Amino acid sequence: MNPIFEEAADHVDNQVIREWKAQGKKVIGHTCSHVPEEIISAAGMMPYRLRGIESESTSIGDTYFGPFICSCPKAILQKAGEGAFNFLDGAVMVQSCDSMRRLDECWRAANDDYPGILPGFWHYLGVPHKAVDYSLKWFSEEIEMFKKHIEEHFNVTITEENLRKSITLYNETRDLLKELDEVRGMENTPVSGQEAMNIILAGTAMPKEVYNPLLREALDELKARPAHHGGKKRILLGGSVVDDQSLISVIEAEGAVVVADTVCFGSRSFEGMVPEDSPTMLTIAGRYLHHQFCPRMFGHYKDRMALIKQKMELAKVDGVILQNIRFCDLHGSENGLFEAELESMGVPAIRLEREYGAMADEGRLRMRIGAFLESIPERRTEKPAA
Amino acid sequence: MAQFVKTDAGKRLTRLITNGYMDNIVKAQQGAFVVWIAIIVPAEIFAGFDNVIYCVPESHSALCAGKGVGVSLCEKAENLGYSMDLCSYARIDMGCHFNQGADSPAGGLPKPDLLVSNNNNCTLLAKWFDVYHREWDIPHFILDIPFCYQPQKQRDMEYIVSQFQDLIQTVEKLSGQKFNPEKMAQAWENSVEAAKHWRRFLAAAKNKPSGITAFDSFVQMAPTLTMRGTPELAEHYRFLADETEARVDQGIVPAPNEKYRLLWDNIAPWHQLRKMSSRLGALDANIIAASYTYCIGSLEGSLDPLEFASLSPLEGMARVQNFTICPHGLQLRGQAMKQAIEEMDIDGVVFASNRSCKVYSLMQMDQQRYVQEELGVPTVMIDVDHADERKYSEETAFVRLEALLESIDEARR
Repeated sequence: MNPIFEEAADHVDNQVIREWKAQGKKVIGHTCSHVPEEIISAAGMMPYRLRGIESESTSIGDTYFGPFICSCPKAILQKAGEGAFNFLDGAVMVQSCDSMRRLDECWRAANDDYPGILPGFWHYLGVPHKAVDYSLKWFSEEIEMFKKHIEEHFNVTITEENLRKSITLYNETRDLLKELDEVRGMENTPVSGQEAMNIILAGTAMPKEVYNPLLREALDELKARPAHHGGKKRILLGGSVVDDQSLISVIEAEGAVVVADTVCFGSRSFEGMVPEDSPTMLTIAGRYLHHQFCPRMFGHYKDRMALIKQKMELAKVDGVILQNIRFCDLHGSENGLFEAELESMGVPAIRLEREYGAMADEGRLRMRIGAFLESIPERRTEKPAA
Repeated sequence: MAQFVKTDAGKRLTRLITNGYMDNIVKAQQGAFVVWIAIIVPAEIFAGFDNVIYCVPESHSALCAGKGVGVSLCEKAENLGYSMDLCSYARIDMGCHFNQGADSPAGGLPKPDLLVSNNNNCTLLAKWFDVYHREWDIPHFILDIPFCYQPQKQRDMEYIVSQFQDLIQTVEKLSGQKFNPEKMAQAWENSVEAAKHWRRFLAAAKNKPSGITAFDSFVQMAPTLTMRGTPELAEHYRFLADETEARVDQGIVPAPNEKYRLLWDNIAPWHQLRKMSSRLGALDANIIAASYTYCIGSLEGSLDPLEFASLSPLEGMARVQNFTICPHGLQLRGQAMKQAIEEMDIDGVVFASNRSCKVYSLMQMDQQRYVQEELGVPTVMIDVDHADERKYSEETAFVRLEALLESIDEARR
């Protein structure tokens, strides 16, 4: 497997970004899967999904956020304060949830104490929490303003032709990632959850024109690879953001394989296409607002449950691990319901609360995950690959 | 010494609130269409229907906490699998209503026919109502209110009005009742009138010593949530403001030896009102105002009275959707707090970091710094939970509060 996937997944910075920047090209960071990256890409820039990985402390994050707040935006702020995102030319903030919205103000406030950490282009993008005709209209106006802001700030023009190409490029990425999902879900899957997650995460940290060919190569390699994860408990991972391989590594170290997920950054991010004919801000808004797999979108619990079931069936999972980062209201309130519904269907499920990143509570998680896996009956249908 | 004094307005309030809860139960039994709403949902809309009543779970949870049953109801929800990290209002409400109104001092709320929530308090609220939507199979209408960093934009107001119109059609369809815009307009007028008297009541805090405590405003705000749009609310606040002004004129104030004039930032600690007020009073300290209540009757970022002459009722109701502290940015929060500190000559600010209200609390670190460094006003941060007493330590809080008073003394030297 191309080592760039692991490098891009494990580190804030990577070789592709360095080469991109060396060519004088721009990178725009953002915090949410509801940011229409096609607009950024059509401007000739690289969208970059912000993560708080590699954080060894939350000293800066704690200073601005206060206690009992999700550690994910805190870790992002930590990295920003340490200068890890100084390669960004811009950033887009979104009210994904209340804590992530607050990152907008915290980052700006931290810039007073850590000068130079705020990218030159800064944009707050309003994203509605429901998809009806008037919210689609409102969101399409937001996207239009976002597009104009990029054009004015960077003195570029986002042409319809470039937008069309960008949409096609992104839809291709989604198609390829769905193919990866299918490979992951195969009997005796040839790819571990960690490796699959590395491949997916790498796509958030490099331009799609570079990523797509690499992803195609990876798929070819995986399809040719002999199956080697047979006989293991097959797990679907759901819930809050998972943007590194640490949690999956704990699950897989306990003898399971993560064959499907519905986490942010993971499989749910590539559901749904932008129509390629006659792209408008409204059609782009449509894809992103009808993308209701994050609990920030109101009133679609049943759709999210349906996605879990669909992925469970596709990947023939033995159990579901639902996790949320501590203090996450959105996943915290839905995971309990998912767990109860799955158990009523006879599907083993467990709900875990954890801190973001560095696996500060790895021992506790390992013990709970191990006990959960032991409680899942042995698979009868699948034999270890020869 | 600051203490709760049962004024005539206080006695009147008890009757109003008790009757309100009882009336709702009776009307629901007689076939009224019942809507459960989040506190900022424009209740005036329901006045436009002949037989639609509304209940406010958040306010009911606060009542439960104030009456001492908050913890037991939280525990009931936790036993159902809801995390302790979720808002205690939500846990109290679920603990109560998944146990047929158990322990509620008001007998619980009548079961709803429609749920209406929003995201301008917090995103949890919609999730909380969604639990009932799924468990009881009741329609859930959600208002999506854009967050604002600057005063609400025209296009945001229009977006909100579209949703109100959608809500009206939804209620018409589900209740089978015809909407009367004139009745709604009258209700809106009542709300505006009530807000005017509320501002007059709060203005008594400008007196030295203050004519009120913030605890009075916490208690008296209840009908703003449960009786909005009614002539009785406007009349009650007129009575409250008149009585308060008369008492100030007569020199009757809650803390005659007032030495420290404090401002409270966050939701009220409902389980501590009497204790905290009395104990502060013994220190000659009075929390005379609170961001939680001074925002009522104003727009985001200001303490000035509402002005709606140029707006239709629906536009006016849309315009106030960002007024509470949570759906607007730090700059606006700071602006209103600065105005409050100056107008009421505040000596110190108590930032109550509230484990059950992340969205109120998650900006307090910056706000505290702003008040302390930019405005030069001493501050303190204490840990509370608005309705779950288990997450509050009285002695720890008072060690910090006493330190605040010492730092005020120091600043005066």
